[in-house]
Amino acid sequence: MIAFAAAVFTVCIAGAAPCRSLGTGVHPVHKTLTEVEYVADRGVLEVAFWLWPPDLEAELSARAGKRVDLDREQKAKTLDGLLKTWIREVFVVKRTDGKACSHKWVGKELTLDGCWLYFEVDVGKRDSEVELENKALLRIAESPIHTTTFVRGKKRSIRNLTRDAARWKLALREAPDEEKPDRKE
Amino acid sequence: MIQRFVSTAVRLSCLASALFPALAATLSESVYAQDREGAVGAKPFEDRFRQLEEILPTPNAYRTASGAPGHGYWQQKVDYDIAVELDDSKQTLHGRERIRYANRSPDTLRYLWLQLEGNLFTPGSDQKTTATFDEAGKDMQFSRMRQLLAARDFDGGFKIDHVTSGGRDLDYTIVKTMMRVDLPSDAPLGPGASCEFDVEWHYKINQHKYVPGRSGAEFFENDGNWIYEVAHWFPRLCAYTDTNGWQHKQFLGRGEFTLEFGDYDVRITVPEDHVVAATGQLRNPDDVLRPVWRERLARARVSSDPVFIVTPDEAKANQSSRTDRKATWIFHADNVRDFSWASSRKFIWDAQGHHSAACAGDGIVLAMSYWPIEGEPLWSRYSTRAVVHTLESYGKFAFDYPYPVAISVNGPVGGMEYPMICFNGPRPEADGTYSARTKYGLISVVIHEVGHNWFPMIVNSDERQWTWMDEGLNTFVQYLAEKEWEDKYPSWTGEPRQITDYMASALQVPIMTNSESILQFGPNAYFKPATALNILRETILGRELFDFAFREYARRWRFSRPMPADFFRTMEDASGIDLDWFWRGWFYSTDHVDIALSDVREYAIDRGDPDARASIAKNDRAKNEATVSAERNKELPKKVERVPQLADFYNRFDDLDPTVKDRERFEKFVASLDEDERKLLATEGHFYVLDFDNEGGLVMPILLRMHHADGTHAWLRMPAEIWRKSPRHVKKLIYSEQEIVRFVVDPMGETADVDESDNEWPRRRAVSRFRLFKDAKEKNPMQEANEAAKKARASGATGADDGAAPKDSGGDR
Repeated sequence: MIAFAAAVFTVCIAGAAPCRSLGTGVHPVHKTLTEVEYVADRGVLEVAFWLWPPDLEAELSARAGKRVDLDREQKAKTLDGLLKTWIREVFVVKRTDGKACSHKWVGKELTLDGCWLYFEVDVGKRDSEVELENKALLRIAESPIHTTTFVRGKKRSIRNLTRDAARWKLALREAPDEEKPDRKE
Repeated sequence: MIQRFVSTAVRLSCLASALFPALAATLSESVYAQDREGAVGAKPFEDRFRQLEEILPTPNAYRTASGAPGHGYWQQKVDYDIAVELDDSKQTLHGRERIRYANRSPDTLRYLWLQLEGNLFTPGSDQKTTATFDEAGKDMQFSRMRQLLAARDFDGGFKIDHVTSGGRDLDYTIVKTMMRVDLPSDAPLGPGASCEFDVEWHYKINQHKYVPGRSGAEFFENDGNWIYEVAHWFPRLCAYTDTNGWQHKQFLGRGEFTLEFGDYDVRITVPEDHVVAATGQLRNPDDVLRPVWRERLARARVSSDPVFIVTPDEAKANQSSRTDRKATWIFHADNVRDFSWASSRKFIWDAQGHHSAACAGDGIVLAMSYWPIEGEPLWSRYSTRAVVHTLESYGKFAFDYPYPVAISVNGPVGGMEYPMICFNGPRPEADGTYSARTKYGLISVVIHEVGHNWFPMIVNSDERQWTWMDEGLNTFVQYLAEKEWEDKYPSWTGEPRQITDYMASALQVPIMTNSESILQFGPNAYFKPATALNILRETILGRELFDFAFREYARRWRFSRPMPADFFRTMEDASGIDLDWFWRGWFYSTDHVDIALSDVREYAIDRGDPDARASIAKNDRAKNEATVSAERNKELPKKVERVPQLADFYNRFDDLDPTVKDRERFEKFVASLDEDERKLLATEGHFYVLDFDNEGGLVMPILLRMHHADGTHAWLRMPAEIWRKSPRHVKKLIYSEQEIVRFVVDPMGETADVDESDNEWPRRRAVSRFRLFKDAKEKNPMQEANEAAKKARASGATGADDGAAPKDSGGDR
């Protein structure tokens, strides 16, 4: 443990996974893409979450304290467990009372172009809004960008969540004077 | 023709349609109400097609208005004689160089500026002191912590021992990563004159794991050996140009290098058992190569497959040897802007000849790779073949490769380019297996870094100022080369749909931004320009025009120094297409593409026939919903029905019926037309008025696919100039002989439209990616029932026959 003024850093081994992939070589781009759709009649958010495989490996490695290789974990059938735990930690949705909503894992797709994770978040039907926070890639990157699309009925808005602005209040019901969502937020 | 309809006799009436909701407007009104934002309004008119002359530098004798080097174009020439020795025990370099500087500018120079990029590693360098800290939660990687401490302790940077000329010391001043050498006050360097001076220096090579950079050394604990990848290792001249004078903007680690062409003679002294790869041709193979290696090298020149020069077994044996003896490898390179090299006793080495018409001598380029045993078997399978592929592909899209060697080296650096040689990082697992990602990662990085020989090693752009001019152009040609490697090559950039999330994001600066100020470096300087050029090629200009213009740019600026305006102007000059709007939108703004098809109305020709008009009017009336009162009043007993004599002409008269006078007027009108006009009047078909909104701001062509009722379709590709008088909203009248049932804007994803949900009419409910995945994964009810029955039977329950799996379900037999 290394003390640094009043703060405390935990040293982890994200760097153990070598950078060896498409698109993240010399000038890495750390980003996620998320499509979130609110299904009002079921009270859930349906989420499709994308990121680069090397970023996911580095994140899982940092969390596990050992090098995680997606291919090997997939063969060992331990990958889903790692992913479920990780996504619960980094993709947090809270109700107005501050309680975190539960996740339901749906599945994943791993391709050369990226990893798609699919899950539902049970937000219920009671609250008129919930708060989404995306903490992915903060262990491995200084300035990750999370491009997030929120769809509610016919309304669709896009926002970039960053380290400094990692949260977004999602309106689950239309406010009487709701503004047209701004595409470039 | 349509205009004549409107302005003379014919009007189009909006049809009520189940498919296309009707509006009350007539065509003659809507066509002339074209611009609802541009013509009138509070905001000033945005001219997206305003010419770029006000932004681009004024053409002159050095650079023409057509984008070519002018009749007075000049650039300096700098030749180097260098002797350097590597101390493998201390990881240090000691070098001496003689620099010959030829002043071809029209200016007199009293001092020369040299680059000392290695000073990036000195304690207190600008790179370190200006680095900011983004609070990383509570996690800090070991690697980051290690680097933080190592950077503090590492005594890197150039130690200048002497700067002399003709035995006299020259005054010099080190300014961070730059050094000014003052010429004797009585001997300034006039136009056309040359001078020589010597520099002696030494420095410690950074261990890349702890002090990463664009070069460095890697230590292998299991065998005690090092791989050295050595770059920007000697004091070298800054560029002096017609556009910027001395380009001595400090090196902060991101904006790369701006250099002069020249000839190099370099003597590299290393331990005798090392193998050295370098820019240029080896001049003393008899001194440093075993006879069998020389024999294999000769065979490789004419081989169509890679040939091992140093085999894996030889490299294994070599890496366990140690010697105190030294050997000096001598290289010569003509007309290069830099010199780099690599050295190790771990290297496996292979080579393959490639014919290039531009290569001097026998026209054979040696494509070669050097890697340690840790790179096997991936490297022997793909590296040199990827080098050859790059030479073939870039030769086609730019120009033939002119240098005698093209080298890919595996070591600590992930991917970095220098003339004739580049460093590439991907390696397989320790057990020799590798994932598809690693495989394609290696092929892509080799193509990219070897491709840099064209941009910027030969088309010598100013990297410190404009990253996109080399990275963007190179990433674009890399994409083309990857597509020629195999079907479905997993390229990570190039396709317009891959850039939309970045284009829609807020954390952006224009492509035309200095390298050090760029936000989101990869998307800005690599992916966006590469995608823009791909769109220019596929959608704006077409392949034939684009390829001609792009080749012309490369040809014009081969071994010269282009600036952005030279690229923009050449592409227009050679293609014959005004592209100022494109450069303005894609390179000078952060607007994005988002074209919405916001409304569609169908119209029919109103020929003025009173009976036809009456029929349409009655149809419309019949479709009008009755009010509640009217509906209920229908049942009321009516006075006129009880007392028929109250009904007269007006009770039978329908005010929509044409009168005799109406019919006479129409007959007279038809009689007044000539034959041609009567044919026009008889035109059958469908007229549609489409509304397009430009929601992203970036003007682009509107690519419209129109689907007919019979299943066929037609295209209408409207150039970007459709927006020239109304950049935010346009209407378009479309005539079709067949009924159109669906319109789709940009169905093939050509323009990087960030929101395709509003590209169709009628609107389609977009199915989310989540839903597609889940639907594909979910079982149908019959499958679920069968599974339940199977489970029940397996557990010995008796309920399987009472509903869980109906006997007629057809499953589980």
